[in-house]
Amino acid sequence: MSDASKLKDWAAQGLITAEQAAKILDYQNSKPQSSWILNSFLILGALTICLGVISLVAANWENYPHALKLVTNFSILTVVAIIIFRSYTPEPTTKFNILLLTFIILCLASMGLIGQIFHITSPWYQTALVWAGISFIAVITTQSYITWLIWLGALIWGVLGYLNIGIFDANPHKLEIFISTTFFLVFSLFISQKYTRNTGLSKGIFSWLIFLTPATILWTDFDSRYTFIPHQSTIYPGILPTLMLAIYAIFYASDLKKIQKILISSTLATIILALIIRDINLHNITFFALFGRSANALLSIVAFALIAVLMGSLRKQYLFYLFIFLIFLRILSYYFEAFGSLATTGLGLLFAGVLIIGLVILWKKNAKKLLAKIEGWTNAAS
Amino acid sequence: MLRAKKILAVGLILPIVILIGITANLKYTIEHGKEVILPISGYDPRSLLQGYYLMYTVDYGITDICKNEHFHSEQKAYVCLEPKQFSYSQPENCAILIQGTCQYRTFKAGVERFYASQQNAQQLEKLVRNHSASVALAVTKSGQAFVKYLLVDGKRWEAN
Repeated sequence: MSDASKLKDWAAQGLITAEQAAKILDYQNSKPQSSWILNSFLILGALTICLGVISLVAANWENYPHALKLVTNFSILTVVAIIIFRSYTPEPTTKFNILLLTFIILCLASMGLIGQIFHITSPWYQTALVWAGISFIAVITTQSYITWLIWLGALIWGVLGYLNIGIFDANPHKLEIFISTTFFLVFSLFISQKYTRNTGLSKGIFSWLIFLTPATILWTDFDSRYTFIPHQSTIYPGILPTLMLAIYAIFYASDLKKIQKILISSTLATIILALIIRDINLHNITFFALFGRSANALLSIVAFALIAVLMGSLRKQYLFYLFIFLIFLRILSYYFEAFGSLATTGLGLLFAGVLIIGLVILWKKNAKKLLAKIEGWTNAAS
Repeated sequence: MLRAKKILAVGLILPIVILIGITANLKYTIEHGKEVILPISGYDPRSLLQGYYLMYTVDYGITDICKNEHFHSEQKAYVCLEPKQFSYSQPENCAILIQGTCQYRTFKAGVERFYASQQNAQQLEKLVRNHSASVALAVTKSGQAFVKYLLVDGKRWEAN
């Protein structure tokens, strides 16, 4: 519907007078018209030129001397930097955010080029940490969520890689380091929300926290099943300080309601309890056989439930559904673990199917009601 | 706004300066480091997002390298070429020292890759399989090693 038709309709409905409609239409017509079709073709033309340049360069790239490659690389970086600087405005714009992201990605590409020219082999985490270090000051000038998400990812995984928590590393404290990282992110989120006005940073930390928390819970849950380390201490000194920082953050977070603080604290306590049980499992086969396997499965479900309720109270509907889904998955996987080969028999599969359908029906009937109830409790508790 | 623009300027200039600095440092180190030529074996051409390269194992001429450490974890280690010895702590009175890490019972000094174009990498891989190959390294006093060039049958290999 065109502006004129809309205005005519509104005037007919009595929402605006005919005189107001005429004034609005005059004002709209007086503004310079930009055709989206023409603009699209302009962008297409510019992109085609860029693609042409890239193709010409790429086709002969391998034949260029190293010096030329480096000069070209640094020239491109400088030009992009100048464009970014000249396009800066106090109010953040999409153009600035995209250009800045392009710049820091180009910095990473430059590191790759330097590594290739000088035949450098360095661990991936070293590259991630160096890149995070050199791009930090540029990144703090943006509030772009995507930029912060990528940068935080490089920092977090660079640090974890440096601390040797890879699958093939034999660091006995891998899980504790991972848990400490999750606790530290809780504290970091508090700091970013309280002392910076950078919404991109806060959202980025929150996203990584949402990713790392279920990963932490599931790792703690499954670790004790497949690892047995007799006579080895698994006490890691980093857990307590990061836990203290997380508790401090929860206690002093002014934008959290009491019920939300209780939920977060309970989740942290559940993770610590699961870690203690995991340690007992590692050193006591009898305990593991009798209680350990089921205890950690139950604690995972409890932790997911606490987080689901927390997300509901924060009105983050999709995250609420995600954690409910994780609960269902864990119940299902526990069924298969508990019954072992029996679960794959005809009867076992029948029961599993009934369980899945039952959970889905339960979900469909009650999810929205539960969410509404949680929001109600939160409002009542404030 | 002026303060924010100053921070932005620093944020944009700093990475470029650091990267140029790293490049210059690498160039200087490779040109002025002590040149050492070592035989290589175990070639494996690879291609990744960053380009084609040849992976190989450097023969330091020392037996029992990285034999007594935990299989998985990375452990700092040192190879001394004059006099030939291997140790997990920095040796004294070593004329040519290369520092690296032991992982999976292999000593890695960050010199086990040689980047080439796709066409050259394939040609290079055939050459080194059928002839004797070596790598020329530039080694600093602190033990850092960098690849200078490859040799096939004693002659420096040049890309087409």
